[in-house]
Amino acid sequence: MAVELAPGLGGVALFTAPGLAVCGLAPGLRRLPLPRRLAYAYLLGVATVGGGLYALSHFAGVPLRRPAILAVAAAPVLAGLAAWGARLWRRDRRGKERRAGRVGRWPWRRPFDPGGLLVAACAVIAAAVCLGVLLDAVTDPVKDWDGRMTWCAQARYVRAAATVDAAVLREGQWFITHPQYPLLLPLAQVAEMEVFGTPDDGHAFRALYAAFLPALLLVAYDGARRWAGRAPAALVTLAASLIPFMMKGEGGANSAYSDLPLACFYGAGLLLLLAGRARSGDGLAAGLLLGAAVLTKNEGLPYAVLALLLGCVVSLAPRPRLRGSGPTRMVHGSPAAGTASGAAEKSGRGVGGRLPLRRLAAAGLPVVLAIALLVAWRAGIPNREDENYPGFVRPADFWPAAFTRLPQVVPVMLSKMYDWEGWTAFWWMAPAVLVAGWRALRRPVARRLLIAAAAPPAMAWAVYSVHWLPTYIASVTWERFLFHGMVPLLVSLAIALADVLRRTGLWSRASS
Amino acid sequence: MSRAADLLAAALFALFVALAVPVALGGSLDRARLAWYARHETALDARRRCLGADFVAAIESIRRALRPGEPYLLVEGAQPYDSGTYWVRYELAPHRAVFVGWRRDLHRPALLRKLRDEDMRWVVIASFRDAPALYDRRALLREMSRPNGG
Repeated sequence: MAVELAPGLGGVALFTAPGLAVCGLAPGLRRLPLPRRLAYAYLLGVATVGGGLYALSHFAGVPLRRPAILAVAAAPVLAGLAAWGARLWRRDRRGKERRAGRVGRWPWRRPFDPGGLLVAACAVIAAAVCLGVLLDAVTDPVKDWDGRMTWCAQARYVRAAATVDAAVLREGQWFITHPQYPLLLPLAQVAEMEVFGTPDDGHAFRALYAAFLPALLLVAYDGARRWAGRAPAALVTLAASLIPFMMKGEGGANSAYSDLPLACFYGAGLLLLLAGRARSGDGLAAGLLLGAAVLTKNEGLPYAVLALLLGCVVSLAPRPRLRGSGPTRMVHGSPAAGTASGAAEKSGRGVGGRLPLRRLAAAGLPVVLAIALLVAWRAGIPNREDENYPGFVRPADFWPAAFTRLPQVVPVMLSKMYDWEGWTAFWWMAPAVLVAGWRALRRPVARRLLIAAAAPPAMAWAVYSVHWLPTYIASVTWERFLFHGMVPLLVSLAIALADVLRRTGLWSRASS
Repeated sequence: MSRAADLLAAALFALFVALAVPVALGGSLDRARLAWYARHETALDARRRCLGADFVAAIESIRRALRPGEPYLLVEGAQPYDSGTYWVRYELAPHRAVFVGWRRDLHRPALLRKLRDEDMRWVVIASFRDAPALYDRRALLREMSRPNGG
């Protein structure tokens, strides 16, 4: 265990450092507190370094060895340092007088803040859970099904060949499962193993998968805090950290599946687009995350397209004009919404008019490039050992199977959701809170979040309608589809919970 | 009615947290205990603990037999969909595998032809529950051609 800890943590840092530099490009991320910024940084680091290596290996034949990996990781760091230096220089010139009059306040002189205490308590419990996941990652080898069958096996072949176009993928006689599955996570694994020189039998790379759990929790907290307030955000994040499936399920943080990373990329990209920030840098960060979703799993492509469509709706929707003034301005009856619009107002664009489409173009470009890369890479790989849905599915197959198969698959889905070992009582609680907080869910942002959360289960429904073994495939995939939409679901849950807590008077500062 | 729904939702949330916190923290504590117990383990020790000493010993012996980069023929030793082949293939990667079929079907002409025609030295018979076994391809074919063989 001890020998795996340093490369494991080093691997996480290998992606977080360039990711922090990419965060510097996005004003909305640059201003976030460090823990949340680190979460986005990790995701952006995997997206840029992994995506960059994927493209360089396929299009330019760059070998996936330590020098290339370090160069790809160092490029954003150097660019970020230069940009940071330039910003500091500009700020020094403009803001010397402003900073001169500012007096710092020591934390212990602040008035007692019960909301802060609640957030701290939730953070401690969630951190303990994440620490447990990390310890498991550096203690045990990969034991999960798809990790050994697909993702980690692919990583070993790619590492040995030093290219994403390994012969084992491109030559049809070799026995390999899902050879056309996108390789972003196996590539991240290869990058970590190459940089730290860990052997194939080592399991330090599992820390990369484990790190997606705190990333998901912090991203969900960020979105929930923006639209629901601090206390409901902290409570819902705590609730998410307590779902056993998030840790030990097939697809959770203790496995080497790509489902948790997909949930992170999809959720984080979506939240950045829904936040309606007008800057191209924020759009680019969202696009990088959604591009990573495309390169993580097959489902990432439709999710990314849906997120862009929802972002398009935000960009084209007329922005509400602000009423009143000061920090508690109310828009749609929510101070949090007022803050979001206030940020848009601060940016000098978007409020009372339309957000610029340039941001959306910046988001769309990485997604288009990721799709082009995936199509080009797949073109040389004969598909085998795979369901190959496009090969057999016809539109007519969905009718009437979409409804006639429900009696077979719904019991399987419910048995998974109400399995105590997997979800404890989460699916008893979540629908109750969503129904009770329905008034808050009428807000446009909540409607968009619910659509985004419903997309993965809708895709599951489509798959179960055409698959030749619907109950079997439902039993092994339903929870993972639920997982894919977890970030927008958690943010919706927080919005509903804020409403419930406010109206019951249980937490008068619910939206603080 | 609306207030009752709000209170019910809040109560269910509190109940969920109250029930789930001990489960989650207990799980973390168990992982911490295991990590402490295994703090001096090597990767090989960890594989032996998790996958079984026999399985790991068999894998190590097969790895020693295969030349660097040498491919092999893979046979599923147990039932279809038992999928020991996936586990063994992962352990033997980056050696490339050609899947022949299930052991119980090896007497069928198509599989026998495949086994005969592939120019590879080794056949690995995988099983999910038992240790994998390595056979010399020609020796296996000879054995199968005997009466009651295979």
